[in-house]
Amino acid sequence: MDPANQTALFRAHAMARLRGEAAEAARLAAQISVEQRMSHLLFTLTLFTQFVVEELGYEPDPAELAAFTKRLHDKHYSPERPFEALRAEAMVRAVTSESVLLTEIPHTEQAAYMWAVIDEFADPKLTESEMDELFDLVEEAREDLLGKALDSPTLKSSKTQPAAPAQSAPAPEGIDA
Amino acid sequence: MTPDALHRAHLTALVTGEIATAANLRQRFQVRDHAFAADLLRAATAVVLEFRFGPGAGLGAGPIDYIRLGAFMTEMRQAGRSTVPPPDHLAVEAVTRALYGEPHLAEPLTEQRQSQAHYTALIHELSQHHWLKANPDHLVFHARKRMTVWILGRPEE
Repeated sequence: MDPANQTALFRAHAMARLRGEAAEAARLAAQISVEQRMSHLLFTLTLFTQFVVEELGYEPDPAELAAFTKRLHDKHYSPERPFEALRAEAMVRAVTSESVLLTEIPHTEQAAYMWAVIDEFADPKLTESEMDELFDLVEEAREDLLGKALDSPTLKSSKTQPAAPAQSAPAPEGIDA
Repeated sequence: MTPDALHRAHLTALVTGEIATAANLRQRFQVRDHAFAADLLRAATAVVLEFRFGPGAGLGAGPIDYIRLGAFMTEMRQAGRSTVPPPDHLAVEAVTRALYGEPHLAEPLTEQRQSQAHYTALIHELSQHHWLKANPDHLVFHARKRMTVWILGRPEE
């Protein structure tokens, strides 16, 4: 699948998910191949980051976050479904100030915890064009993500020069996209 | 060995880092002893964590000071870097915050994961308090008192 189709699939899936169309989201999720899963996780991570930063800023207040985590626990935990609310909280902290946490939450669980958080933040009345705008931001941010957002503050201070902002290369002219 | 002496000896072995002795003692456990030992370990952890996070661990204190917690977790991550498999640091955070007013964080963790996390936290904090580690009777005494309060809802007469 070429990159454009892949992104279209990821977008369609996220859109269905944001609209609460569970059956459609599941149908689209089934089309995401094993080979695309890591890519998809990064897409979701970037989408998640947009929501988190929009809602909580780059330095979430720990007490507020703890109250949020308690709400998630009450909503999702049951003995049959051992939802670990702290892992959802850790995903939030991972994309704001503690990137190390991304290395400690199993990748297979990350998307589910991110969606649990997004479901709390997303406005169910988002229009299609608002979502498209959001996904455009996500694609821009995806390029930046590994270079910047995942940096730890303590590592940043040891750098003398901040990295140049990532720029997507313009499409070469004369080639049919 | 009475059940009482068995549990004292087991916790003492854990505190002094005699893992093999502790494992041998566990061979003598009856079914319900495992849960009791897990609780006693949690009590010992509560007592020791009070040196860092203040009094009242497991007794209603909280919320934890999140800045101090961050420092604690960073120390532990540094110390645990070469451990294979790596310690479950988020579980350590869960059981630590659970002792300070957020018990729901430990709820999804199995007893074994909780015990492992309590032990990681206990050993790390003990490494900062040499006298305590060298005098396990003191810690065992206070851990048992803490457990009594949990069970009876008040200190022993």
